[in-house]
Amino acid sequence: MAYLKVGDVITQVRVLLQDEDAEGYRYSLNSLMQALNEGLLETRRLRPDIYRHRRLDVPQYTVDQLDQFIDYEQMYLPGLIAYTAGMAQLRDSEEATDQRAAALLNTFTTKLTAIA
Amino acid sequence: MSAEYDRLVADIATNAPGAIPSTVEAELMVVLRDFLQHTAAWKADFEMPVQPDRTCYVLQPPRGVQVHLLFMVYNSTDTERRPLGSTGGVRMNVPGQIEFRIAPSAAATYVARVSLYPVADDNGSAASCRAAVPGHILSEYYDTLFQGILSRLQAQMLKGYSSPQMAIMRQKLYREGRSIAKADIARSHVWGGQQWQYPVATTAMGRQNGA
Repeated sequence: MAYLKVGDVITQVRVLLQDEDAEGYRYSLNSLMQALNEGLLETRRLRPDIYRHRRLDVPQYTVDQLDQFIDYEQMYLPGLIAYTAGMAQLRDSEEATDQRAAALLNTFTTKLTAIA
Repeated sequence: MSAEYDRLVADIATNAPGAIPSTVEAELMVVLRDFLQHTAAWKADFEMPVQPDRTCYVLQPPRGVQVHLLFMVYNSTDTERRPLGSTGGVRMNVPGQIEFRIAPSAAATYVARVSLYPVADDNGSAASCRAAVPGHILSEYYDTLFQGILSRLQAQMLKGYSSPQMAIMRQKLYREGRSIAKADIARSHVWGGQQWQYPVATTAMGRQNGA
C-alpha cells in the first residue's frame, strides 16, 4: 500500500505552493507536517475504510520521519497533497490565496467522496 | 483461489472505481459467510473417535473456519455411510458440538459431515479466512459473489461508487443466484433431479429469515 515516503509528499506539496527554494522556504516543515497530519485525521472522518487495514488507527508523522513510507491508499494521495497545500495557504491573508486554499480543500473532499 | 480472487478484485475495481482492496476483501468475507451459511456449499467430513461413556464430542475445524450445520453422522467402517441417529438421536445445539441422546455402544470412529463458513482469525485477517475457503467456490459462484460484493459496496455512504439503486438491483441478483446455488447444492448438482418444490411459506421445516 505504501509506495511514497512522507518526504516525497511534502515535496509535492511544496510544488503546489510554489515553495521549492530550499535556501528559504516560506512554509516551515513543521507547519506542513501539521497540515499533513490533519489531512490524515480528516481522511479518517470522511473515508474510514482507508484505515481499515490499520483497524481505523490513524498514523501521525513527525519531521524526523521524512524517510518513512506514508501509510495511505496511493490512489487518494493527490487529494491529501491538495489538502496539505490548502491548509498551508489558509494562513496567508491575501484574498486570492484564500480562494485557492478553499479550492484545494474542496479538491480533497471531492477526491475522497466522489468519482470526479 | 488467488487467480480468481485477483480477477474478482479487478472486476470490482472496474465497477466500483475508488474501492480499496482491503474493503473489497472485507466485503467478500461478509458475502462469503452469508452465501455459505445459506447454501451449505462448503462441506467437510470430520473423524470423531467415540467412547461408550460419552455423549458429547467437539469437532475441531481448522483455524479461521466455523461449523454451521450438521448433515449426518456415520460409522467410518460403514461403506454405505448410513446415517446414525436419524430418528433424532444426534443433535448439534451448539455448532461444532455433536451430542448423542444415547452414548455409543462401543468405541468406534464416527464421521460427522458438516457445512462450514469462514470467520476472522485472532488477528482479524480476512485474507487468511479467504485462503481457507476452497477455490472452486469462488470459481463456481463467481457471478453471484460478484453481485453480492458490489451490492454491499454500492450501499455504502459517501463513496465515489455509492449508488442505492444499483445496490438494490445487485442485491436482488445476488439473492437470486444464492437461491439457485442452494437448490443446485441440495440436488447434488444432478441435472434432471426434482423439478419442483413446495413454496417456502407452506413448508414446516423451511429455514426462513428470522426463524
